[in-house]
Amino acid sequence: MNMGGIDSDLEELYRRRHGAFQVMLASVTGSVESARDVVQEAFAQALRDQNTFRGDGTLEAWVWRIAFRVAVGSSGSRELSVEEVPEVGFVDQNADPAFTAAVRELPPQRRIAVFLRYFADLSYAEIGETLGIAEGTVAATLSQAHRQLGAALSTNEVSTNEVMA
Amino acid sequence: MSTYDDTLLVARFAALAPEPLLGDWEDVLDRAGRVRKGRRRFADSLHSRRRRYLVVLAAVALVVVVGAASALAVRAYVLAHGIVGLPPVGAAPSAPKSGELVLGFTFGHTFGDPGRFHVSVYADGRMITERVGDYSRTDEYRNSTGLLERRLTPEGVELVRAEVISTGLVDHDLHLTSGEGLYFGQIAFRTRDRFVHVTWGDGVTWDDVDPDVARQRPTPKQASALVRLDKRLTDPDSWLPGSAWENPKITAYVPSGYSVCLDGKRGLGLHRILALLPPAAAALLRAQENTPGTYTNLVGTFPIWCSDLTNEEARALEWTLDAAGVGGWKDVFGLTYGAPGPGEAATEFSLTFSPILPDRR
Repeated sequence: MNMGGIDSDLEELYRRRHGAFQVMLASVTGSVESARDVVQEAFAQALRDQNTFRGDGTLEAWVWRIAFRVAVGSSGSRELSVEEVPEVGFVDQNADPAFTAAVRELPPQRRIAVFLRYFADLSYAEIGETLGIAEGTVAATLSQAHRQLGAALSTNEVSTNEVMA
Repeated sequence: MSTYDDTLLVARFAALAPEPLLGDWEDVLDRAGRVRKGRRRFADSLHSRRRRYLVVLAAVALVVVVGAASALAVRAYVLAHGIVGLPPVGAAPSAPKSGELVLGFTFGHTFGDPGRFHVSVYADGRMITERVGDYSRTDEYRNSTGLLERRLTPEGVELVRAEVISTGLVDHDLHLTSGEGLYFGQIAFRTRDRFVHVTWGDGVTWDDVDPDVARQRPTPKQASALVRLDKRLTDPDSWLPGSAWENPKITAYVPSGYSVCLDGKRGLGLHRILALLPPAAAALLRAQENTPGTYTNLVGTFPIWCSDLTNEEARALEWTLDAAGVGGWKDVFGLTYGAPGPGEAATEFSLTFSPILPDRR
């Protein structure tokens, strides 16, 4: 058993980031309980399939791709295509209804980019790696998402937040 | 993108983020099939039916959180052939209510849950099986089956018994360690006047077996015989004649009732746990036997109280809990409710419904 190398890197990643994985994946599975199971299974798959990690991207982005594949129940080692990105949404749809509704109206790719940015706390580059798109495309996608959200939310609400900020 | 945009969105997403549950790297290692000396795990120990016949030593890695059974994930991945949650109204329970166990067989295909197979054969011909899913696989064994029932003829029961006897392992009690490809498992085989117990695996003890019993390393021949028996019992159609089946059709096992167990996760006594329940649920449970017991996991030993409820009583309790908004989940193992307590992943209590098998296990 290899206790160094990717094994230890995966363990470090898990210990540091399992909470973020759970929070993000709960938006795919619908509950933090099921998300936790996905995270456990995703890291286990990563351990088992570590030989397929080519090292041409970050380890975390690779695990995110595995996690999404597990979350949507995709079998095999094939990676999800950009068109297959999972639907995401807030677990609690009743809290902050105006905001959750505005986010729900985002097209799926904008929505998942926003979730990866603010729930998973990923950089543009990491989002790009995870979704298999260029970093510039991520920036453009998030910019479009911000514009759409800003338009959907009330002017009063934005003004209030501006003052508070 | 402006800084303002980021600040706004960070704050609003943070407010909507669910609280993550406790992590468990040991569980990840178990799922990956990594062997760690001195560590064994049975994730389904949250299910009281198993609790009562399978006691895991203190080194067992369990996560004591309401969501640990991750039922929603199970629901997402499992083709629920067995009953998920409670049986629907009108579902006829398996009859007769009680049955004499002639064979109990459990075979672990990993050190944890994935792939675990169990079969109970009763003198009346009922063969009740369950295979826990193995998400590392992509074939038909990926999905858990839930409890399934078929009916053997008396001849079929004897053929199954003969198959077990042919292993040469049930002449007397035998206790083996893990090794030679064996992870854990047991045979409880009824002879004329007693059960012969064959067990294997490190760090696991079983009902009716002294936890400190001396264990010997399995020989290749013994391991081979057990692996073969698992294959035969997993796929009885491959060797049993058609005449061995009274009813070869596989149906969901419908229990006559549920064992409902309350766990006090933080040392809570029964009365304090009942006080946390909706009044109607507490009243229903106060009227029950609530037999005390204990439940041990990595964190410690906790008291449990179990009662047998009819399906109707179980449904009434489920309805009461649902109506009161007590969090719960259901899967092929049963139905569980729990209330979160203070602190990360802490749980005040859990209330688990587990189907009762004909031999009351």
